Amino acid sequence: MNKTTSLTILQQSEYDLTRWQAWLKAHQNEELTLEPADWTLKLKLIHFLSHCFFFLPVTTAIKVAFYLTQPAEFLIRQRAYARAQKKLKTYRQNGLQVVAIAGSYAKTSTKQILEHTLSGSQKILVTPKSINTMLGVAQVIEQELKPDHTLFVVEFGEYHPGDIYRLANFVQPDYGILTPIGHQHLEILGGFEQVVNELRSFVTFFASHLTRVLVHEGNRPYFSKLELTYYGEKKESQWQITDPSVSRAGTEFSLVQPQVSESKKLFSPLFGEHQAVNTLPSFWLAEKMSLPAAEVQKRVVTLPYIHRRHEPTFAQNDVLILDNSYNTNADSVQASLKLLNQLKPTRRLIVTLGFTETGVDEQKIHYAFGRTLVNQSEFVGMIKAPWTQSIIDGFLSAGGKRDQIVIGKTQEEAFAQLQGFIIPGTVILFEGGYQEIYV
Amino acid sequence: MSKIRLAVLFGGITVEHEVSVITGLQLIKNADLNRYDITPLYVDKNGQWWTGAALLDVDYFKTADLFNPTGLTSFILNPNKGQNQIDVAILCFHGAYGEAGNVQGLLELAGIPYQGPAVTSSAISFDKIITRQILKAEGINQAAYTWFTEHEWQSTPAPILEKIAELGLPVFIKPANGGSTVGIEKIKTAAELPATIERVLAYDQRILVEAEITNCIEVNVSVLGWAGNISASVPEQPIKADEFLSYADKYERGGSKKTGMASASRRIPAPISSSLTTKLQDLAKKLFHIFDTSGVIRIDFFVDPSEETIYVIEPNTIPGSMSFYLWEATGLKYSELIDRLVAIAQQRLADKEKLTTSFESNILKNQ
Repeated sequence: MNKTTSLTILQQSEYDLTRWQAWLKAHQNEELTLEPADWTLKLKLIHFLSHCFFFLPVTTAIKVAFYLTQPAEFLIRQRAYARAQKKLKTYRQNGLQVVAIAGSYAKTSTKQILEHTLSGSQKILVTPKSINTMLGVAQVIEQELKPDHTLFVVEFGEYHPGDIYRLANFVQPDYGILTPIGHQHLEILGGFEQVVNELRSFVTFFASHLTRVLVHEGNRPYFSKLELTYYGEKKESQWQITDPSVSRAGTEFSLVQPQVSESKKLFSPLFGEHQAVNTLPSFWLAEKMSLPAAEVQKRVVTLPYIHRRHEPTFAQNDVLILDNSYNTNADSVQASLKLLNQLKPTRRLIVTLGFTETGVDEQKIHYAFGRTLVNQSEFVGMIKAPWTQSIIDGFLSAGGKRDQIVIGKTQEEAFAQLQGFIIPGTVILFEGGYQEIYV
Repeated sequence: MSKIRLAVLFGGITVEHEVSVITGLQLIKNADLNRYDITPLYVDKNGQWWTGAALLDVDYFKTADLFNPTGLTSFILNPNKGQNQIDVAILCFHGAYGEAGNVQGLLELAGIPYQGPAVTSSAISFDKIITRQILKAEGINQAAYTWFTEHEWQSTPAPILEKIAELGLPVFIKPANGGSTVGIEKIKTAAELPATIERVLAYDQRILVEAEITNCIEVNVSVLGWAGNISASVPEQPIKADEFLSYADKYERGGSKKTGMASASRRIPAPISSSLTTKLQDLAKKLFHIFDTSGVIRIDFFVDPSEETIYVIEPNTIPGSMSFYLWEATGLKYSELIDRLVAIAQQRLADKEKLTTSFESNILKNQ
């Protein structure tokens, strides 16, 4: 195992040495070459320090380097937080507004849609890629926030209890958007109830001005005692999309807004009604900030595809690949499967790992997923994971046949085995499995 | 019922020679052999006409000298009506002569039905300047433009440069005639203008200069029919090779098994709303009528999806691959498209023969 691959896995395991070592042990005899998604400052530092211990085995050198970075990292963090907060305060006095996005999934899509739709009237900075920790946000403020920015959109990640509230206190958002809460990060946070509590604290931050937070309608059960503004597809939601129609051109839908009697017909090139729902926070925020809705509407029409979030690749013979491999969970996969069928494929191929961090229900959730897949795909490419057998058992129990399933160590290997099944008009869905740590 | 003797014409003296060969062979491959006896008619790069079974095999064209092909039978079209063993012809030419009305005129003389459009429509649609003038006269939205001849440029370049400056840079300099992108240049600074114009004058004596249209995507629509019976296809968005990561780039990394599956060079349907699609289809049908076209054509547009503004680029009277892929996406198989083209050809001739073209009396008798 080369050093870059080891560092990649260290980053993917969120610097949890136990998880990192377990992965290395499981793959010790394999020749894998992986590249980190992002060479962060922390990773660079570990990389640099590990060179000083060239006489040690690679894994040990990385481990020593990691421990050595800890005191330095603490100091770097404190310094970065203080500087970022000071800068943010100054810019806010000059009119900068801050929008925070939290939730289990759809955060990055919502963030990127906001960036595109509001950039006609605002000079926007969004936290890039999936940077969503306090240190990451602080670095973005320090390095990328400029005096002429008028809107700063910050994604909040929840990796440890209290993260969300700490982040909210840190950036003091003017507005908040809470995307769906789902079965994600269960292992890190300790269970679904902990995830709900963590994300509840996001709304708690806005307790004294609840009109400044917009909540996905799926989260309604967790806020039954509060008067909140919701968005989604149900008519109870104040911000709503209706009549969604998905084709290979994109998605048509109608926008229903509070205090506006007529709905607006809209088109977005992004695939799926869930992505149409993800445009609603843009309209809500435009209204809050007294920006023209017509401007948002015009920009929805030209939304760029979002990397690895149902990102399409158009192949010859009407074959369409939908890459939703960044992440998935038992809740969000429903939108993927619905979309797959809406695109009217001649054949459906799904390449999936299953779901990561499902906690104690791992077996049950994957067995159920396997059962679901029987009616949703003609062939399945499984990326090998500890729960693969549960998916297969579920698949077979629901009437699926073993020869409809292939298994590979990586996404590429699983897909390679499926390629003989591709016919004109096939839609291939990559659902989760992008991160190698779980393989 | 006896089979229709169908001649498929392709090749020609044009930079699009090879593309025409592909269009012709694709069409032959998809024609219903229970209905048609097919004669391939190939015009080589020197303008000689040929026929022969070897022309049915694409491999022949990979090795043959396309200026002086061998192993074929010379073909001479008789301009006298009824003297050719052809019931219907389908023209698969792209570019000069074959798409510009010349061959159409020859078939008119010989009384051979073909899918059209006829001589005038083919000629005016092929000329970018006349196309622009017709669009302007009809009040159809298009890019701002100006045009000039070689003689005008050589004698008084200053007013030409002034008119180009009024368009605003960048501009596209295009030869008036030419079905492909050969000879088209984009210029961004005034200093580049004179030398660029001189270069483009090597392709044509008449030059079109167009302003750039921004915030647009290219979208094409095919129209099929004759007279009042016309229909428009779903729209496509052509994808340029440098604009997308190829299928292989994304999914065949790391030495995994190769599929041979390539990235699509177009998106069908184009990523635009249904209302904009309807607007485009209506405009495409209107243009089909204005340019008096027939058969299967493709009209290229620029559209601003946000504003739903449409700009017409140009009609192509014999589109590459006969736009069969757009018709398949619209629900018409290629073999059915060919049947429609044959029927259109026959109907066009029948309609034409109903017209009065000469009188019984001979006015010379009274002289």
